[in-house]
Amino acid sequence: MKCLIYTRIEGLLWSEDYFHKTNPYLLKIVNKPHLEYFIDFCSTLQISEIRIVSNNATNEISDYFKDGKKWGVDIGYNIARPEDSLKRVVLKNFSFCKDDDVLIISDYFFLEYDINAILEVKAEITDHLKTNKSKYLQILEKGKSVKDIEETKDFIDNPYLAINKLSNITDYFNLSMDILSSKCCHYVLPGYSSEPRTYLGMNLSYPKSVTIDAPVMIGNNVRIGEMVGIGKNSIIGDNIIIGELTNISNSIIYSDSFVGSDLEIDNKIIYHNKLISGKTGQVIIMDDDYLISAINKEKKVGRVQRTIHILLALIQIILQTIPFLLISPFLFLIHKKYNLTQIYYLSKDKKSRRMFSIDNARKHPFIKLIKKLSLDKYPYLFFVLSGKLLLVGNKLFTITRKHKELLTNLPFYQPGVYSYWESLNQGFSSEEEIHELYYVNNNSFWGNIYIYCKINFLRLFW
Amino acid sequence: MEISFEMRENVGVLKVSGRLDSYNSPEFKEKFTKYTEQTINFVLDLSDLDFLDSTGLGSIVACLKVVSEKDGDIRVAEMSEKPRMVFEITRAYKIFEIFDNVDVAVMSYEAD
Repeated sequence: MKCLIYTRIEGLLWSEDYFHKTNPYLLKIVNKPHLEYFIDFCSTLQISEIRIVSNNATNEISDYFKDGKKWGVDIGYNIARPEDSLKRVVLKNFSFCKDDDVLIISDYFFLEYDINAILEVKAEITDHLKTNKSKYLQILEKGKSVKDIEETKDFIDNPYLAINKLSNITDYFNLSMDILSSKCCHYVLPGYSSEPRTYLGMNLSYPKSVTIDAPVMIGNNVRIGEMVGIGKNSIIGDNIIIGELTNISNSIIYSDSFVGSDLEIDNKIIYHNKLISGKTGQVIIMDDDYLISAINKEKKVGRVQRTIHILLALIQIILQTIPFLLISPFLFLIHKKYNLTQIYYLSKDKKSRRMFSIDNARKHPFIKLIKKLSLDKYPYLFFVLSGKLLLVGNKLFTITRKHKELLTNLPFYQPGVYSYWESLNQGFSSEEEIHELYYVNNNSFWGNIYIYCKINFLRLFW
Repeated sequence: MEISFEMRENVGVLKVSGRLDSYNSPEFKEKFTKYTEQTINFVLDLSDLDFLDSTGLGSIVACLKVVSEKDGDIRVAEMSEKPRMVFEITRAYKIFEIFDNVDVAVMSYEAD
């Protein structure tokens, strides 16, 4: 069986009003994008091929789900016109639909199910959806015409499935709370679960004074201040900073948000700088950054820190200019054989540039000497002066598919001539993401100075 | 931001409409200081306040401090939901007495 998902977004003004920067189908419900619940459902029914049809640009969805391998399914994409009916969409994807039964999921709703129950009654569910069609969920059998598609019935009478229309913000809030408090075992939820109903993500940093009460869901890259209380039914997204002494309960802190110190968050949704009442949907947009705000993904490097980076780069340039000029004829000769350049990403939005690199010739004895004296860093130092690189920052990543994906996962990326990765001396490439995430979340002024000194010391004496 | 002021039974009823934020907080504090020449007990009618940020709340707290030093008080009444959320998350409800009716808030001074 295949699956066609028609991600229509007409009539979803509530989502646009509250979560304007997020595609409604990627809106996280208990830290998991809405559409991913459909993909899980399809996987459970052993559907191996899914086509996602959207009536707006599909980039965000395809960027997230890619080819679907992560979920064990093949995902393809297509686009439809906003006015296209469901029948029209199926017709437009007829070559995909014609040679197998097709589960059709259409319009915006949340499908409530228990993944464990479904595993046991897969055949019963598929048989039922062939005869009891709903505009949201139905199976079009192989060989049947598009005329058999149901476009009006908006409910489903199946004991294992329920449709939640998610028609406003309170539906969204109540559903999230309901899943976390009593249905977390019905779905595959993200994060480690060391204790019942406690889901913790990667790169979670919190002091001992923090109290965390289940049920709770905390995402990746979360930094929690001293004496914070994460109470029952708290959903903390990815890339969150919570200030000291704040108490959170029965609330959703959406990804990429900052929550200030000494606040009491109960029955609220915080989406960047929006404070939303989970009970009434009332919203207040905060203009200042003291209470709540969005996390700036391009982390600002202070003026003082940048000036010190430039000064250190200048000193290093002065010290290395004559030695580098002396070795440059040899480098020119080696370049002909080894190509001493590579293309590197310079920013999170994938801007790139061809730059000097000794990677291709690192085993050459002459290059080993250059590395010992850190003369290979010399050409990069000018990029510090022009502001394109930091002296110490993220690792400079070469253009590869893996690095492109890694950059997408990093909250911010500001590459440096020296990096934390390099200071580890013997990191494995499979751990690049972990180390970069660690650096992103823990770097500091003195930490960067330490990295700079350590690398130069190791190179000279190791 | 619009501010209207009236005296009711020795209590100053201050109605703040629109936005109270970093832009107009100085004006709010300046006007409040002027009204303290007439009374030290106030009721802040926030029924038409659409927006309140941390600076706006800070200015109300600063005003409370001024009148508290003279044994006066500021009581908040008819707070609309948006400022109420700010009062909730900042725990400001612990330092202000909040009433759902201006008249009752005014009368509460008499009862004390």
